[in-house]
Amino acid sequence: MSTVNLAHPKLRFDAITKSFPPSAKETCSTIVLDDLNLSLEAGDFLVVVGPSGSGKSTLLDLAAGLSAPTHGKVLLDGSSVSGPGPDRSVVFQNYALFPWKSARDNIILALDAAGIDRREHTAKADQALNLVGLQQSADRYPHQLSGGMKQRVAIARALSVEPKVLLMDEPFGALDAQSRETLQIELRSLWQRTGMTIMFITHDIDEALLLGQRIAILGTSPGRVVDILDLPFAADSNIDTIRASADYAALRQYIRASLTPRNALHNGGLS
Amino acid sequence: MNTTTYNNVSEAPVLLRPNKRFGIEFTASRKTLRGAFGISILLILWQVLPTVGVLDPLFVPPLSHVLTALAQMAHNGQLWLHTSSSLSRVLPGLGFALLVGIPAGLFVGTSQTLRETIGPALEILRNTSALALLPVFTLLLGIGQSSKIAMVFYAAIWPIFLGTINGVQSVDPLWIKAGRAMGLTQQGLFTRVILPASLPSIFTGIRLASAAALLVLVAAEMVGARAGLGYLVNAAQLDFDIPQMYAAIFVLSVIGGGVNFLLQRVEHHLTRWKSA
Repeated sequence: MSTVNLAHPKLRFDAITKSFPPSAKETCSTIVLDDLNLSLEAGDFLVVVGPSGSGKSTLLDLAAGLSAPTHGKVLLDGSSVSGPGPDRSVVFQNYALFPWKSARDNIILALDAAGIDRREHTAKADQALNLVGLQQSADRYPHQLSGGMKQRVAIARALSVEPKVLLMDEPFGALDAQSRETLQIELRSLWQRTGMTIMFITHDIDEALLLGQRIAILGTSPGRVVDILDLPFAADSNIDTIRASADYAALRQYIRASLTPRNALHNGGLS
Repeated sequence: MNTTTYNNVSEAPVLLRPNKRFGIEFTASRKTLRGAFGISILLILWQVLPTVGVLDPLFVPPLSHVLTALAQMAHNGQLWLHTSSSLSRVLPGLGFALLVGIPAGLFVGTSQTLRETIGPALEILRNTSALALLPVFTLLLGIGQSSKIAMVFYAAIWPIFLGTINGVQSVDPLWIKAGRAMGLTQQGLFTRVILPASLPSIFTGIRLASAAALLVLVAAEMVGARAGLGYLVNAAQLDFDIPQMYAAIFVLSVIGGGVNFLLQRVEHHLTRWKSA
């Protein structure tokens, strides 16, 4: 953990425990996250990588204010998060665009929900679409857009309200390999251009290495931070350079090993 | 490099668009033509089969005789009398069903507890034939206008109510999550996410309801009324005025088909965002 602790990190998970009450089949409650600490500085691009069941989506929901921690606090600029707000935007895996609204109107709905002046809606929406290169498709409905274009609209919608933190929940998981890579490149350049703070959830190690500036590795049952890596790649290096570097393979190997459940490793050693 | 990849991705669908549009218009007009052709065949058979004697013209008079009877009724005011009488029952019944069914469905749809509590009871009520209840309505409300409106209301409310519940229930939870994440209030979530997302299902319910309303109306008018298209069908048959009977049936079909067509157009307009 080489993070410099400033007075107020942009986003901070402070001793977070999240448990869900017992369901009909179980007798005791499930602890999803246990005493988790994690900080993002302004301008950080933090990728949270973890196997399924590590509570990474729960972590994102907590940051978004969609659910509340059982213990601990989520702090944004030093003040406690108590619910959703326009200072944080979420991009979901399955786009979550409203199919009855055009690309532009999807963005305008978000601007309206964020309480932005009605007169600025169209200009801001078009500006956001411009940012992701979709100014031509403003009047199209989601079903008229490809998966990659839908996710671009969703990113534009998230950025339009100028959030302090962009939260992305496996946003490229549903895309074909080619669109995924295109969007990874675009997101990286968007981050370089805007310097925004991004928390990005994925289970894809390559994606984590190509996008992140830092990687937080989560372990399972209960979810907790196993390790935090500062990536050695320069912020302005492109994806091909990163992939070709010697560090890449070594880091990839290391993260894979960290993500493998301990008992599986143990069994492997015995046989 | 980056820009090239991106341009390819975003331009390809734009190039496809004019073709696709043309394709849709083309199929739509061909569809209409085919439908018109099917209806013409039906009408020609109606004219030809009785004329050549395949069907007994006494029981199934040719279309031309029926249209003559229809013209006569239109001329002497009978047609309007009976049609307006029927409409004065079906429109209020359907209207009340909409006014009650949609808000009630929206309310029940949002609460799982409520849904689970009244669900089985609803199934029983819905499956109780409105026709079986005809004597009950007559008993309670007499044989006047109100009992017929009440019957139409009863027949129409279930499809609307259940269609609305179903619509609310099947709203993609991800849309609600996205709406919440944007900071929409409960009310905003309802009017801007849940309601538009439920609209297709609500409209299916309305169309089913209008068909059910007409069905029940005719039955009620046959049993106890002195005017109305259902009464006319029955009375004409008793008078052995067979062309007039078919004329009344014909009007009922046109009303039913017309209402369905109108609702489909409105539905299509309101839900044009759905993929074709």
